[in-house]
Amino acid sequence: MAPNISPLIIFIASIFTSNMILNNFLGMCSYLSVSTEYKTATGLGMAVTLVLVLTTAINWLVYTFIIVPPELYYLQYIIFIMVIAALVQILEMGMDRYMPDLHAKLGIFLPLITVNCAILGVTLFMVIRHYNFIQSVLFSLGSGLGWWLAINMLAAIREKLASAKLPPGVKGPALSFIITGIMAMAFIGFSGIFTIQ
Amino acid sequence: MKQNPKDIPVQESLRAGILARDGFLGEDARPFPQIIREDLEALAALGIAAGEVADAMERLTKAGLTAVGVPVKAGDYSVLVEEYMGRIPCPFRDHRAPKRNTEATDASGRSFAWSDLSIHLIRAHGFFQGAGSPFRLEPAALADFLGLAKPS
Amino acid sequence: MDFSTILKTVGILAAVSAGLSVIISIAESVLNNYGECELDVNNGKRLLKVKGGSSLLSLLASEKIFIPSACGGKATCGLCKVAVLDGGGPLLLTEEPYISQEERAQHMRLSCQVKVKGNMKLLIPEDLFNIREFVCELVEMEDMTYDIKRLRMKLPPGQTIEFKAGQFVQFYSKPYGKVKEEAFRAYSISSKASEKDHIELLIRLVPNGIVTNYVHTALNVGDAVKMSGPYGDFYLRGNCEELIMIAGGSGLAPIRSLVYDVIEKGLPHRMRFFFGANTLRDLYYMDEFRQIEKDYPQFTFIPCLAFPKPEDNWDGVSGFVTVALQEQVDSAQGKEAYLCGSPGMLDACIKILHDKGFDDQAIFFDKF
Repeated sequence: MAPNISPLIIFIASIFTSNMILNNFLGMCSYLSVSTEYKTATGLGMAVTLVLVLTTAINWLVYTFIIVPPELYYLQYIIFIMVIAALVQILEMGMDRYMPDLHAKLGIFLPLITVNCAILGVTLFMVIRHYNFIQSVLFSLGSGLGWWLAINMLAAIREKLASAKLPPGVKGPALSFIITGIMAMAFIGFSGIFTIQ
Repeated sequence: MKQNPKDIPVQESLRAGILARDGFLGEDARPFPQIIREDLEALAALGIAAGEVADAMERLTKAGLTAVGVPVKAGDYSVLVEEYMGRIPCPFRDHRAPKRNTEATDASGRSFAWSDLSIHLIRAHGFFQGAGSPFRLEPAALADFLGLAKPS
Repeated sequence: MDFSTILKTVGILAAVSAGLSVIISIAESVLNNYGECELDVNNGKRLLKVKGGSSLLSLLASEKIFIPSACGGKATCGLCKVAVLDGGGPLLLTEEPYISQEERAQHMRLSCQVKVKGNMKLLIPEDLFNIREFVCELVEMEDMTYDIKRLRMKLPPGQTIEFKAGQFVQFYSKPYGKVKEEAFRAYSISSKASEKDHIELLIRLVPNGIVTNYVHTALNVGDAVKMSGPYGDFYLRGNCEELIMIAGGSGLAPIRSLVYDVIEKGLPHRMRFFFGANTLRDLYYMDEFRQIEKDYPQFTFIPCLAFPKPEDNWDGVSGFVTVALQEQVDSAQGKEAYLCGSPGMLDACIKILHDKGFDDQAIFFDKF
């Protein structure tokens, strides 16, 4: 049954205490590869948030009406992934047609997002925690914004570090991992607020 | 690891048959940001910046331009420059370089060849081309050839 | 796991996949189907009905309107500019480096990047309407020097090319070796404008060049060759008494066409052709131009050899073409200059012409 937590609390917790990247380490691939520039990181963050909200909402409907009644729990991973992939395809086509400005900015990121494990991760968290529809939507919105926040922070730091003198071998992925780890430790400081996991 | 979507068109342009017949990557399977990072680190270990290498290459090319098509003596080097019509675009889409090839030989007989585009790629992007490419310029060897290696 | 569970699993997965595929197909036919779009070209001069969804460059080409492009639609040459007054959408990231602020005010776009999604209003330069595509047969291929080949191509029966001497064609290479796609580059026509059923080109081998290596290694006499044209602003203006022509390497091509054009039309202009080469092996068409000089006193041929060796027995001008230009051209009075060569040669000669008083309206050269 749906836990008795206010959706607003879920929303705030998913940004700070349950951050997809800094607490759950999901979605690291695109997070690391696209965080070299602040502008592109913002674009990807926006795209991830948009896709997260849409896919989680639709996956909640799929779960409630297609998976639960015939008890097909063992098929849920495959079905969720197929729905995510199909949705991103349709979203890209729709954006190209009706929102060309947005498509020009975000379009290149959409194929990258399909395989972002944070997307599947949020859906599965929603399933495990038995969230209702409102809770799911706010959870996914918060997770997206938290992901966006994390990638923006890393991009800002990396842009500043681009011109710094660094020990050999550290520049690039190695340093990003170290920075992410330090940020994650910092975010542990939020855990006193409230926790949903 | 995933590639930044902004890098995908650049990686495409570096392949063989897109901007140049043999491309800029040779047999190298590494993504180009990694090639650039490792080459720049090799140079940084020697205390040399990519800009210095590009400047030295440009000085030799300028010397060779005084007599296109014939070897020119410039200090200890013999420089041969050939020019062709038209311009070639940079894979990073920020420059169109004249088609000019320089071949420089030093007193000991070592020789390096580069194009005006190579000079731009090194100066603006730190890109020395992929391992196995016939136009690959090994940063440490090139810096040594140009006399830039600082005594340690 | 019993049989009915396996059946149920396979059945449900198949149903879900099929359902999603159907939804995507429907979405594609609704969203990606831009339907029939009307392109209004030059305020109604031509109204094209095309199927939306492809680039403006390719759709115009399918309607036999050929916009110049040197890079095959990869947004690296900037030649395919078209004014899109309506229906073009926002300026794309890939176009930004090529469209200046003034051009943006004129609604200039790169037609290889603009996707046709609906009705559009376009403005294209008038002379582009004359451009045709030809699939010719290569009938002759001759080595003029160690790195320049002359190609002679015959147009299909019944087809002719109308061009102004000095213009160029887009020459298409086919996939070969590591090159997986068709590519095209611009080459000036070296044959006479009066010869309307053949095209001749002079192609110099560029190391690592895609199309020049195709010509020098993969192309054979008898092969079919695709070209489109004619293009270009490099042609005779003639508001003068004398034409100063300067070329190096394969830049001789349009000059040859121009010289024959003046002679065949019986125009009164005097012509001085400065042909620069570095070594003896770079010279070609020497006998032909010397003969023209004998037959037509209005034409003077000045080959300049930068580094003659004693064994060359060179009795012409020694030194760079810039030296001859400096010494032999006294002023800009009554003259127009036509140049074709490498960027370095062009810059050096233009500087000398400016010093002598030629202003930019009297200097002509191809900018690609």
